[in-house]
Amino acid sequence: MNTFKKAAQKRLKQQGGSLKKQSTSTATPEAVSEDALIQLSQMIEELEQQSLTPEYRTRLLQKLEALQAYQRQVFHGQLPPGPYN
Amino acid sequence: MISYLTHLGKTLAPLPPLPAPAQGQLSLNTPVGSCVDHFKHVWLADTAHNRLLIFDRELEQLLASYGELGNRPGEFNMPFRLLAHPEKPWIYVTDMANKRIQLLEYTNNLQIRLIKTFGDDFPLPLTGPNGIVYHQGKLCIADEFYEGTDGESRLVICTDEGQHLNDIHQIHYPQADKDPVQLLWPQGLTLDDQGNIYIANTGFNTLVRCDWQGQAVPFPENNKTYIEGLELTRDVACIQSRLLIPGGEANAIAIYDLQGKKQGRLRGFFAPIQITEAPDPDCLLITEPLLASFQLHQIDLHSLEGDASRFTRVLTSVGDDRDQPGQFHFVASAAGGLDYQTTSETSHYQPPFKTWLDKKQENFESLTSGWPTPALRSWLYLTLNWQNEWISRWQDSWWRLLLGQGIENPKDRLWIVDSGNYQLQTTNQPIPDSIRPTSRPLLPGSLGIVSLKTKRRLAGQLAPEVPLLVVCNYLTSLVTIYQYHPVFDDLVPYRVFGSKGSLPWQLDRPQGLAIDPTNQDILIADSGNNRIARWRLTLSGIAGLVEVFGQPGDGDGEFHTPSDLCVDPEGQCYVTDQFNHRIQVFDHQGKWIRSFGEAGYATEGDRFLLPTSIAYEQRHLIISDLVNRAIKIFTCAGEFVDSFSGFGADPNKGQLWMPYLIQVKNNKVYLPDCALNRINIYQLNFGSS
Repeated sequence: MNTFKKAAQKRLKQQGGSLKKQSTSTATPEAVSEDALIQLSQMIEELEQQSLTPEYRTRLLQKLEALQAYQRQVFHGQLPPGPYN
Repeated sequence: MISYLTHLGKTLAPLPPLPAPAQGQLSLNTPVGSCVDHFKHVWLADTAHNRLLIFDRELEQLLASYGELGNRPGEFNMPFRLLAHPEKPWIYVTDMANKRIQLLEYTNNLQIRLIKTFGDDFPLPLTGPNGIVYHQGKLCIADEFYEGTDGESRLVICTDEGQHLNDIHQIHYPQADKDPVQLLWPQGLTLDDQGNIYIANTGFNTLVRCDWQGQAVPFPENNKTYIEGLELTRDVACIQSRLLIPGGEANAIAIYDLQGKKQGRLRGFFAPIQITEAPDPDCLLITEPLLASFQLHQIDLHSLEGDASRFTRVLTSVGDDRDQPGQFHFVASAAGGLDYQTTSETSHYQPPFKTWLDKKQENFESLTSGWPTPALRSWLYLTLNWQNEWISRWQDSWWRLLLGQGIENPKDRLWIVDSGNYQLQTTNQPIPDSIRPTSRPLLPGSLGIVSLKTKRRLAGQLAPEVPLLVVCNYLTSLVTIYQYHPVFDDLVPYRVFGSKGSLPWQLDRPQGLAIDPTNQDILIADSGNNRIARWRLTLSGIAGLVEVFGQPGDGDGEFHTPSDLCVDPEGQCYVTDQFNHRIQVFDHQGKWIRSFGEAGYATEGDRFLLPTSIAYEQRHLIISDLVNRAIKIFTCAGEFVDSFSGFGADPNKGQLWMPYLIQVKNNKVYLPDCALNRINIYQLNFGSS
C-alpha cells in the first residue's frame, strides 16, 4: 500500500472520530465572546484605576485596539478552512 | 488547448517610505514564516506578496522590506519559512516555488545581502522546501513535495552552508518488527533542547519525533514516535519545553509536553501556522495566513496544565482587513462569467461618510487627548469602528440608488464569493482591480456559488431573466439563494434552506454546488457527510430535498470528502472525491457508473492528489488538481486531453497555490486561489488540439 493510500485511510478513520467529538463540543462562539469581553472590561478597568502617564495610557489604548482587532478576527474572520483541511 | 489570460484581484500595494508605522494600512497576503534575528528584529515572510518584512520587536514599526517576485538570486517565489542562524547573522529563507534555500546576511541597521542560494543543486534537488531547523552546524529541511519510491516525502540534511549530507525517507524504530513511519507532506519543523526533530507530518495529521539519523524517539505517553488524533498538523513549535501545534484542535493551538501528554490548548485562533518565541517574556509571534494577519500574543505557557483552555492576550496585530477596492480576502468561488466585449468602466467610489469616519479614526488620539475618562475614549473608539463597518456595508446601496449607479448588465457578470470580507464581489471586465463589492453581506463561512437560470418564473422571483445565485455556507451548512432586485438594482435574499447535521435533509460542511441542466436541480457536495445532495426549487419557490447518495469509504459510490461536482447536459454527475484522489461518475438517479484517476504526483494524465474542483464545458471535464497545482482537461469518458500547471505566486504566469472552486463559462476558466487572493482566468480552445 503506498503512502497516499495509507494517509487517506488514516484520515477517513480520524474523520469518523472527529465527527463524534464535534457533536459534544462546547466551544461555541458565545464562549469566545464572553471571554474576550471579560478581557476587554479588565483592560478598561486597568485604564481607569491607574494614574497613568499619557504615553502609557496611549500604549494601553493601542493594546485595546489590538484586542478589538482580535475580536473582529474571532467573530467576523470565520472562513472556510481552505481546499485542503 | 488551455492557456493563461489574466487575473482578477489587486496583488500588491506599495509600501510607504520606511521605517513606517506597522499598524493601519499595511496589507499582507497569506504570510507564513517568521523568525527573530540577533538584534531582536522580527522577520516575516509575506508569502503571496513574495517579500520579507522586518519589524521592530513590538511590531510597532515596519523597518525594512527585502525581495520581490522572481527567480534570480535575491528574488522570491513564495518565501515560506524563515530561520535565524543561532550564531551567525544569517537568515535562511525557504523559497518554496523556486525550490531552493536562500541564505541572507544582515546587519543591525538592516543592510541585507544575499550570501548564496542552494538546494536546487543537491544530488536530488529540493521539490518543495518548507520547514527548516538548525542544530550543531547542520540544517534539516522538510521537502514537502518530494516523491519517494512509495510516494513518501523526505527530510534533507545539509551543512549550514548548504552542502548536502543525507536524506531521511522513513523514521525507523530500533525494533525490527515495528513498521517504519512514513512522511507525507511534512511542513513545519522544530527542535527540543536535546536536538530531537519534531515534524508536522501533514499528510497523516501526526506529529513525528526523530533524531538526526532518522531514528524514532518514542513518546512515553503512547510508546509511538508520533502523536496522533490531531485535527491538523501544518506546523509545530517547541517553546519552554512545550509542543505547540497550531490547528491541532479546530481554531486552536494544541499543547503537549515532551512526553506526548496533552496539556491543553490556546483558543481564539482561526488557522494559525507559525509560532515563534518573541523577544519579550511570555510573548509569541503567530502568523494567521488566511486572515492575512501577523500577531503578537502574551501567554504564560507554564500556567497551562491538565486539559486547560486558555486565551492569549493580543498585544499587537499587523495586517489590514484586505477590504480595499480591488482586493480579495480568501476568495473561494465564482459564478457567471465575463463578457469580453464589455468596455465600460466599473466605478469605484468611496462612500463620503466612510471617508470622514476613517479620517476621524486616524485622528482619534488628537481628537480625544483632552478627555478625562479613558473608558469614554474606548467607548467612542468602539462606536466609531462599528459605525464605520455599518456604513461601509450599507451606504453603497443608498448611493447606488441615489446616483443611479446600478449593477450594470446583471445577466452577464462574474459573481465572486469573497469569504474573508464576507460579501459578494462582482465585475464585468477582465481587469485585475475592477472587482467591487455588492452591498449584500454574506454569512461568515460562505464558500460555494452557482448561478441558476430558471426556465419559468418562480413565485416571488422579481427578475427571471437574471439568474439566481445559490451560495452555500461551510460553517452553518445553510444554502442561501439570492435574486436580482430591479428596483434596488442589487441582490436580495430569495430563499434559504439546509441546516447542520447528518439527517438526509441536513448538510455538513457543504462545498461545491452544481446545477443539473436537465431539470435545474441544485446538487451539493455535502463533504462532511460524504455524500451528494440533490435539491429542487418548485414553481412556488419552495426548496425541497430530492435525494442524497453516497456514504463514507473508498469503494465504488463511496466518498472521502467530496469537494465539488458538475453535471453534463445528459444529467451525468461528476464528483471530485478529494481524499480518494479520483473522479466518480453517477447517472441521473445517483447510481454509480464508473470512476477514474488514482493517487500520484503528475501535472498530466489521470494521477491526482486531492482533486478539489470540477466543471463541465463542451463535452470535456475541467479539473483542478490541488497538490499538483494543475488544471487538467479530460473527455467525459475520462481520457486525458491537456493540462496547465504552475506552482507559485507569479500573477504573470497563472501560477497557483491554493486553488479552490473552479468556474467555466464560454470557454473561460475562472479559478479562485484563496491563498494568493486572486482569480486566474484561462482560455480554453477545443478546436486547436
